[in-house]
Amino acid sequence: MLQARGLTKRYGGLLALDKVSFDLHPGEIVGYLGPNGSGKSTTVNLVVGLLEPSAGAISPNGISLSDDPVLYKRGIGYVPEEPYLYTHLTAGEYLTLVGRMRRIGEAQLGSRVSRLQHLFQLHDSRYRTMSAYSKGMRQRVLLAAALLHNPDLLVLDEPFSGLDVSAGLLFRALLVLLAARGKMVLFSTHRFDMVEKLCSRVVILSSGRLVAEHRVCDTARAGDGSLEDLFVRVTDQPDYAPVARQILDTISAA
Amino acid sequence: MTRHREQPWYHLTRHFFNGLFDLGFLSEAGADSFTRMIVGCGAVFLAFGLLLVRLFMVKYAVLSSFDTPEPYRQALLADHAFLLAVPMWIVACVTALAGHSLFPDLIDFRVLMALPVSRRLVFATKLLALTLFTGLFMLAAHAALLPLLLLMSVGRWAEPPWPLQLTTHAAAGLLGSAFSVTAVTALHGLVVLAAPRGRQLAVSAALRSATLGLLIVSLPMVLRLPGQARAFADGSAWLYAAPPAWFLGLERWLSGDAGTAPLIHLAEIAGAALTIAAGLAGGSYLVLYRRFDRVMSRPPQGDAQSPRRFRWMPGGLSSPATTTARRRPVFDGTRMFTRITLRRSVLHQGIVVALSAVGVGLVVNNLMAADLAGWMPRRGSAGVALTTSVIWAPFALMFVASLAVRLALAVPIEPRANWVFRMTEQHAGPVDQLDAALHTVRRLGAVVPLVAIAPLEWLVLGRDAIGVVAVALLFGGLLVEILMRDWARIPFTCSYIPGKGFVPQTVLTGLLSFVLFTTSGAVLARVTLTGHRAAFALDAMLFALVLALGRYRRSRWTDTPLAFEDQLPVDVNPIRLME
Repeated sequence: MLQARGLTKRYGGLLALDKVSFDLHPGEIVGYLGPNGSGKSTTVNLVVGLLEPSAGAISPNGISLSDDPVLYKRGIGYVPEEPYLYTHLTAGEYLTLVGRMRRIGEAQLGSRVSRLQHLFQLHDSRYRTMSAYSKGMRQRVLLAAALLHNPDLLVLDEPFSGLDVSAGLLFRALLVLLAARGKMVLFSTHRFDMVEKLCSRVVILSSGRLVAEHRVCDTARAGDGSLEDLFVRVTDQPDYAPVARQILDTISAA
Repeated sequence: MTRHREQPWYHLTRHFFNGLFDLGFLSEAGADSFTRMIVGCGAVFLAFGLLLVRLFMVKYAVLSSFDTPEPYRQALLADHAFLLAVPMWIVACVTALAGHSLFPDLIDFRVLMALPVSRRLVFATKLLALTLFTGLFMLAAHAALLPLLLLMSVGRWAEPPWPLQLTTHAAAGLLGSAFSVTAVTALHGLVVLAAPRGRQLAVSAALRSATLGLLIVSLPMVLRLPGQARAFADGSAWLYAAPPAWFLGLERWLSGDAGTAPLIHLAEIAGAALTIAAGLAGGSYLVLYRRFDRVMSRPPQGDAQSPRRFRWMPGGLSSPATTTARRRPVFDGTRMFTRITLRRSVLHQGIVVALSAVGVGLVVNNLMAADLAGWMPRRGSAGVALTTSVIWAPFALMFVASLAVRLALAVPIEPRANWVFRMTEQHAGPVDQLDAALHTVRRLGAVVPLVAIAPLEWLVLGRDAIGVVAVALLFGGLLVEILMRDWARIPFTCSYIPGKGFVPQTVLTGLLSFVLFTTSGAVLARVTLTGHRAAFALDAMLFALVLALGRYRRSRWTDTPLAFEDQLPVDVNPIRLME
């Protein structure tokens, strides 16, 4: 189980995250929602160990980042928001690099890399460096790299960005199966439809603070309307119709 | 001016001009530091111009004291060729370095063609930015050398009168620098047009590295020009292959002082060369303008039908499945990443090639001074000068190549992609990752130069070459241990801030280290060849020292945290005014 307790992160004088606590249980897919600048990416970076919290603690399966950062990161698979990759490598070379850095045995690594390239439809482009890949293809490489070592916790930051319909469907099916096998999935996104279809629970952040935590099926039952309605309410979203009118007025002004 | 600033051409030119200074791999702090470094280099170059005046003052005082004008005028020819060559060289280097931005590229088109700007405007502003960029360096170089030109032009035997000399020199200098720009641009243009699309990037990268390498190898020849007065007087054959000599001929022809046939002939070559280079560069622009699909199309990275190019590659696609279990997967992974990056990255290849070319240039210059070319046809026993030069050569090559490789490994590629290394640290510390970097510096910085120079060592020294190579190998090991003692990065993954130290101090330290390393290495090699016992004892001690340093380094690396962000030095020397 992943436990986050009182997570706080300061960048100089800026408080990016303020005492955020949540749990993630095995077999659970948790949606992590929030407007831009609400602290979603900071949380994700804290969970995967790329940042250290200013206060608070986070421990997947009882392992704390400060006690054993290597063991902590070993059980995590991560797909970042932007497909930052070494684009001068081919997908196979990149997966091999990641596999070796994760100390996967060579024979096992070879077969996994080869199979994953087939299954993620990267095989036809196996001799091309990733500089020639589309965003969706890069996203598939990142997912394959995140799954390569069979992690217990999968952290996904906007994983559907750039994916075509078929890859999106594959992704969804995969996440459901991963959860069914007891993996924990933390899923940061702006897409309410995906959260409603995939997640068992949703955590909503606003201005660095946790403002709502609900089981997805409970949102409707509690009379909160759709997830989008709940989001708009708890994050104090203004009515954007007047702003839209002002934009139109601005561009049509002589 | 205000109206100009409202025009799209102004903004586009400014955009392209700034792009020519953007190396693309530096962080914000790195870019600031790079700007400071450029300014520092400019200041050093201006100071160098003044230093030259001081050096040449004595020479021209002596030449002016002679009763006949001939020695003065012969020296003047060679020195004017030098004054033309330096800006030509600088401008050619700068143009080659900016090779990636000489023509509008895919990103320019993707971004700009979506805007209401014409293709003509894109090409014209790109050309204008390039002209401004190279013009800046051209002017700076000529300005730095102006005091020296004045000194030469006002001497007792100087002819024609100094205003005419300055004017014709400025014209020839301008045309010479224009030739440098157009020649490099033409080469790049021809490659973009002629190379198969799938190979465009690779060929362009190779051309850029080769151009820079050749330019750096030619630097010692540029610096030796002032000593070639006799060759200019005699009209030596090599002048016809030296572009600065062509433009010297042009300068003399413009001043009506060409006199002898060789100078007129050189002037004709200058005219023809400039016309051809400008024609090819302009033609390339014109063809690309009409067929901008050449730059629009992203060159395919590799060939789906041809897996052959990956077969040799350790860690290539088929490798993990076919190799037996490895004991050091992290080391293998890092080494594979290093090797592939060095093979495919234009920037990193360029750093290694260009800096190593400095070493090659120094060695070639030294061997030529020791009359290697004269010894080759007759062979036999080599003289003291040649033997000394050949013994010194491997140490010089290793020093420069090791520094070049270390610098290349320090410069990042796709810095934001390094998160994958941050997430895969090891309990045993970063020994394997750092070892892979050391292995690369040792192999490319020490072993490859030694292998490259070994045939020449054998040719000149015979069996003694084995002793020299053995001592050089020991010194190479020592050098790599010293260079890598504070290394804490996975190659290409840490941000980079250039010019962190005080530039003149860094240059001075580098020069002193070079002299110390090459001299002590060459002396020990020479003494070892005499069979003196003390020399063997020293060799053994050196070997023990390399082993001890290696052991110490490995023990330190186990608890060295990997660096992913380069830092400016924080050491501040307190003035302690209150004490």
